[in-house]
Amino acid sequence: MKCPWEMTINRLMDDELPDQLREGAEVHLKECPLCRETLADFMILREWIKKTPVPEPRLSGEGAFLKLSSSARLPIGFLQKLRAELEEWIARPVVAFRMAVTVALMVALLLASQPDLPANLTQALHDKVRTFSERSEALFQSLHLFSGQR
Amino acid sequence: MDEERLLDRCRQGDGYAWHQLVRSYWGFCYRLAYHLLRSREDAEDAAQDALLQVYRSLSSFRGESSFRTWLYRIVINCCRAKMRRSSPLTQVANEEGNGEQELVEQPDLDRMEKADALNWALNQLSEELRTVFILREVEGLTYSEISQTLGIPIGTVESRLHRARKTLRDLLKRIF
Ligand SMILES: [Zn+2]
Repeated sequence: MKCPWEMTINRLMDDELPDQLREGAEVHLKECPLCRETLADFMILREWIKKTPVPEPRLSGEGAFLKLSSSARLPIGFLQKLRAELEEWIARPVVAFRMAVTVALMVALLLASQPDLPANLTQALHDKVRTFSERSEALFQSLHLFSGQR
Repeated sequence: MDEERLLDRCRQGDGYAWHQLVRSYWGFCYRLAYHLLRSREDAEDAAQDALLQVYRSLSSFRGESSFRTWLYRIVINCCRAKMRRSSPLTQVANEEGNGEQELVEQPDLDRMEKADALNWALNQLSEELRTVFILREVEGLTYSEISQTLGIPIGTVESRLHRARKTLRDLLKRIF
């Protein structure tokens, strides 16, 4: 079954009806279950398509620019190209992950060298350093003994 | 930098301005292409083609329409070319005015994610119907803007949109 107002329902939901026709369409909608169902269905489609996820492109804006600049031989400067390549390189997940790990390690090292660390942590670090120096000392002495024996 | 100035500098061959332009519109081109083609790889290719075409023909763009409308047209044309390359047989059928749709096997919609079901249904629409539907529902263009972008009368926009909605509703109603 088809209602002659069907097309008008589209215009109503798209806000394309002039005011004088809008009122009539709204009155009809109240009286016609067929058009109400059509409107509800079309609105569901609208919600669905808006919620459809769009996967991120593998290429960033920088990458797209690089591709374009090479295929179109764009007149860009050396520094600009370098910057674009660097940004594209950094945008890669593997590189970003490695950089994050490096930064975390550097922060940890910096923290460890702070003088106002909690006592137990400082102690632990001192112990490590002492063990290391004692071992070096022992090694040095054994080397010395060895050369002395000769 | 405003759009007008950016475009002027691009026309003068300023590399930095092109850098700005591509960075600003890459996402826009890709998203539109993705909605029309429903495949990330194809959308990336089409968006790249579109930007290359912008580069080649920006000097001929004289601002009769807005830059965005012009860009819409270019992206849509690149997507059409992509579709034609990937499924030449379907296109031949369309060009011959063979309105009969090939019988497609209905997948098990109940077991599909909503997004996948919608993807499948959108792929059942002809390119003409899908384009109008996406321009209205995703891009939020008015009937008159769609009519200008595609160069078709407003009445055609309305009827294509209605057909697209009805077809999608019929295909998906079971899982509404
Ligand atoms: Zn009705």
